[in-house]
Amino acid sequence: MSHSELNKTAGVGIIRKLNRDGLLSDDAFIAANAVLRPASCWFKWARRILLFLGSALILAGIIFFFAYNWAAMGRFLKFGLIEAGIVICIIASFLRGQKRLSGKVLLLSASVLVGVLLAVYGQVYQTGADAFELFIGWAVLILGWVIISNFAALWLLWLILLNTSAILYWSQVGRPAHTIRFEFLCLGVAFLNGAALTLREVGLLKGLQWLSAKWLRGILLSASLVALSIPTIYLIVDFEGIVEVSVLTAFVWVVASVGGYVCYRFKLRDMVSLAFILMNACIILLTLIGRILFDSTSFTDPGVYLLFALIILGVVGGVAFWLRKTAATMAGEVKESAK
Amino acid sequence: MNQSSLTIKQLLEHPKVRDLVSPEDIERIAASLAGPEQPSKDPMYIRILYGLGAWFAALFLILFIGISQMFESGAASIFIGITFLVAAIVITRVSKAVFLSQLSLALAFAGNILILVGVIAEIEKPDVLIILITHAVVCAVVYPLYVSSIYRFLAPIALVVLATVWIVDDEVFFLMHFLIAAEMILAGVLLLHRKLPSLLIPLAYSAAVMLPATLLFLNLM
Repeated sequence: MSHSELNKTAGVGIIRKLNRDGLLSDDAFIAANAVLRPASCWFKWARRILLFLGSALILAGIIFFFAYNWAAMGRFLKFGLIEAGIVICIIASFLRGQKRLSGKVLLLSASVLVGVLLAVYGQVYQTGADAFELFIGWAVLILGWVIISNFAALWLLWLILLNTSAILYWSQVGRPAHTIRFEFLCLGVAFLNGAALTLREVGLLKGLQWLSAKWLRGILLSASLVALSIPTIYLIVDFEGIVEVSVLTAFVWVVASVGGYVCYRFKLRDMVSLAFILMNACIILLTLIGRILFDSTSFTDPGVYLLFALIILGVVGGVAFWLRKTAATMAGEVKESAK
Repeated sequence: MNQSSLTIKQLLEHPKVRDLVSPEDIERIAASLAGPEQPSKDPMYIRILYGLGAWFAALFLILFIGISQMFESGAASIFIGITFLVAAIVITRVSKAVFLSQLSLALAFAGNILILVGVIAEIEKPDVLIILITHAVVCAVVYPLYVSSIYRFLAPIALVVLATVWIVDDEVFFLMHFLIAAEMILAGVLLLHRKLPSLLIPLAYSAAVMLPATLLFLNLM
């Protein structure tokens, strides 16, 4: 057997195609599939999914249990049950150890229960505190567990709490008092998620494998870019109401997009992130073109709508072409560097 | 050895596989792999980009037709819709250029919507069932002719969403059991089919999404 074509990496897609083309018998296909994807892979996958789903459903059950039985329970019972839940989760997490996924999920569950405890506390004693204080308190209280967990999902929960705190602080304090502009909130949220993304990438380069999940990169990158895009689009649409901070936000969006492109094109080489950055740039560019087009003509002129439809197709097609070309170039570069 | 990094040669020589593959099979496999490489499918992010671009372009195409007052009557709208669909089918068969693929997808979306709008305008008392039947007919005709995995994925989902809307709107709730059963059977048959024709692959993915789509829409309504 000396065919060089057979040195290609085997994948399920290839053997399925060979089977479909009649080159590989059904029995051989099943045997080859079992070699590529042994049963242990599926068991591992099922164990993980069931662990996450089970934990999420139990936590949802606890929250609904309190909501349904609220009137029938005394305050000591309410606090006692939640605190018992937290203590059990922590002890079980300690016994399982932080290297096992179950131990990490138990710590995540304890962190969620802290939020439930704070919400129940606020309801029982009617503290009158603003909602953002609950989320900040929650984030502060679980910080220790987040640090020791080495668990991306718990870090994400913590970041969601900080983002929610910032948004609620703006809507409950900053906006009513006219002390914080919307653009500053967006800059803050973008900075928070951007900093987390940078730390994730640096941590991964330093060998922290628990940060390697690609979804974490996607969530943080999209959160940063969306936070910067909203005020940038607003600036384009409502150009008359321009203030310095709007221009600053648009400038930061440009810097973040260019920086992200350079980083994921040349340094970290990730096509999905590149695609997201270019999609985002597409939206901003089309908003700008649309604004110019509809400003220079009339909204009742049907030709403008047709022209804009063609421009959308042109811009999106151009970006897709660029992405395809970049993906091919990048695949070549990866092969070269592997040699 | 990591099983995911096996070469085809190593896989065919694996103790569990080698007795099931003859030397002639290996020769034929090698000859097949040595042939001209099939153009690889676009990755998911490019297909999402295409889909989004086409939807927005379709929206502006419909606005263009609406403002041009081309569909003053339902029949005119249906005619333009059919023309768009035919144009979309012809374009995909003539060219594979990115811009034209995008244009054809936008025309297909716009054409499908225009036919539904036209049918609604033509009937005195618009009913979701009529829209559902119209979309089913359009989908059945266009699906085999129009070579686009995005259209083939989205059109059946739209059909299921319309069916859910109709069941809730007309309060024929017992049909929900049949809809869910039909979705599960379709997904089961397509996903377990070992030699699924490429024509039906988007429908298989669509079938996998139908059940969550039904449950989601049921809760939203």
